[in-house]
Amino acid sequence: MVFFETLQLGIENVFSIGPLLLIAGGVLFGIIFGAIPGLTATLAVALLLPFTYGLGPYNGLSLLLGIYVGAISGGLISATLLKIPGTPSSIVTTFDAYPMAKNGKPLEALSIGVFSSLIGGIFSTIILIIIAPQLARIALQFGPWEYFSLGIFGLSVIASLSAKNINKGLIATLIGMLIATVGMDPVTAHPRFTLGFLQMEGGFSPLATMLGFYAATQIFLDSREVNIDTTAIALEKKRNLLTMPFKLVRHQIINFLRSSVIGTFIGILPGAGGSTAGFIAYDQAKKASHQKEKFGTGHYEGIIASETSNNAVTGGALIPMMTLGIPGDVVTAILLGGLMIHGLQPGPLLFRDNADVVGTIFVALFVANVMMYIIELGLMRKLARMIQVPKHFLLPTIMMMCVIGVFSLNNRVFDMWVLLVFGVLGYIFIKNEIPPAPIVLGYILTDIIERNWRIAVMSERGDVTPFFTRPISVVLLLLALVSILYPIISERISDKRKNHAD
Amino acid sequence: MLKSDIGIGVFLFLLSLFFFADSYNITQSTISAPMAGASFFPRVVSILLAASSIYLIIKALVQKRREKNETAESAKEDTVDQPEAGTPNEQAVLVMVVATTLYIFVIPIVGYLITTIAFMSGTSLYLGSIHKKHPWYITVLVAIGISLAAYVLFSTVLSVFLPQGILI
Repeated sequence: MVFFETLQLGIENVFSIGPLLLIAGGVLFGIIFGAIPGLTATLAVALLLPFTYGLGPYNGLSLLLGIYVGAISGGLISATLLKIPGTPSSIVTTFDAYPMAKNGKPLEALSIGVFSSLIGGIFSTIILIIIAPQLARIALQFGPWEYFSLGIFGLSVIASLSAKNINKGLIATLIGMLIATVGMDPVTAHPRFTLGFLQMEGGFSPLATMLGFYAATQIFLDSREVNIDTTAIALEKKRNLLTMPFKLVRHQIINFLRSSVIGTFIGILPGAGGSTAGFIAYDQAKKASHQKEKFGTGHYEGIIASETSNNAVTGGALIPMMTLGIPGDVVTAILLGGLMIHGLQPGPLLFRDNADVVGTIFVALFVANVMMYIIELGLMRKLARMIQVPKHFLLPTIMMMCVIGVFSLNNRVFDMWVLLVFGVLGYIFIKNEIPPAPIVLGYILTDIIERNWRIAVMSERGDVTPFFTRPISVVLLLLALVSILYPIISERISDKRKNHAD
Repeated sequence: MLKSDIGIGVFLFLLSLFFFADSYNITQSTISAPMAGASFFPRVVSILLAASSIYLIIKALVQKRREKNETAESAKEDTVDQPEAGTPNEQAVLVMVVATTLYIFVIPIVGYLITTIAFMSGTSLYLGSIHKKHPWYITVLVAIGISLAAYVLFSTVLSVFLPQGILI
């Protein structure tokens, strides 16, 4: 019964004029951001996060979730018309949507994509609503040992998936962890690595760190390419788009379902995001299809697999973030920040103490998906033109919003400098193939990992064996070990094969 | 210029060395278990980072030697290294970094509006100059428009704290 009360509270909070307008606005903003190549979903959510502080938790979360859903879906527009994924999660969409658009059917490609986004989004929202409360109940029994091991597991997956080279993934994670240790320590509040500066005692603020490594770095990367012109495929001028994909649904139920499940599951896993889900779902759809040879030439099954799965990631990724307080990817790490600026601590207790907020997230996510479908199809002609918006206005505006946003949250000039320095560092790191995602997640998860490690060790007077004797903890640690060792071993094997072939 | 595994490795090694050394300056509380202290965790992380950056350096050195041997064999074959048309413009990064530095430096002194207009106009003019899409005054007008619109949005709808200086 608590379950329905939660949903009811959510419906009450979301279905009023303010939140609905904010969701719609967020979805539109997100779609535009997602559609413009170089601007990612992560950037869109991070950029508006500081400005949600004044809106209160319901309105603020509605806006952020709208942006998240819109941005993940919006990537398909430029993937279809430019062959450039607007956001990394729609890389796979380019495989089939672009050829289809090139064959003179851009509207059909887009409407299949948008419809698939809707199905994936709604499916994962339903899974989120069903699973999250159950998982939260289980998580109530977790002690510091389990949380420590969960954090380590999360980091190991991120380190091994996000870089081509596991050593660089590890390095990135460790950099993030070191950055997080600056400032007061989480248990006894001793200042660390402050170099004697009072401003450093607060540490590097999460927002400045995330916007630095994600937004500022991205702006520097994009500013190199302002002079590169792209040509988009023009939309054909005919009938409305809304009716088209429904014919496909009957034949493609299995594909929709399979891709939704894959996307949701990948979303739940820490570290793996929309692009991974897209690749796996595409691969599976190809294996199961009767028309394998058509994949890659503009085949609708490919678009369905990719767009359904990458949008299904949204609901899945929220599950560990909400129930355990452990974000699975950078976007949810930022959404976690969106909860924390309102004094809400994600985790199992959120479900018990803040049922109103939980319900709001559930309902807002559902509404955001429906609105995404309506807005994206309804405004498709306008949106298709927007993917070639002049970057020389866009990049300075985003940089300005980062600087102001970072400043406004704490009124600290220091935070603006943190943003800039981390932006430059992030740029240098990317040039050297050290990815920013593990840095940010290493930074975010360190607090959980260190705090729980120390509480666990203290409570057992220095004994660390419970980490290896408690069943959930030891399984998670073993999984962490596997995810670090697997890429190393498979790299060795493929190296050996290559040498043999030579 | 910025791309070097050895350079990055050395930088990160020194960084982790600093963190390791400075961890001895952390005041320890009287908690009995040393592994639960405030300096244990940073020390472990800095040791791991030092180890992986050394590995990075070694790997880069080995690769360099191997490449040297290979290029010695095939040096005459191809020395074509021409930049393609429409290549990334590295100079733009430097301009953006300098402009942002100035922006952050000046904004607490002069305040939001004037500084933002200057920053937006300057960077838009520079980035737009590569394109030459429209005359300069249009660019400046749009930049001023965006700054003003953002000002109204920040101060009314979103009630955001803006940096305030001698001018607004």
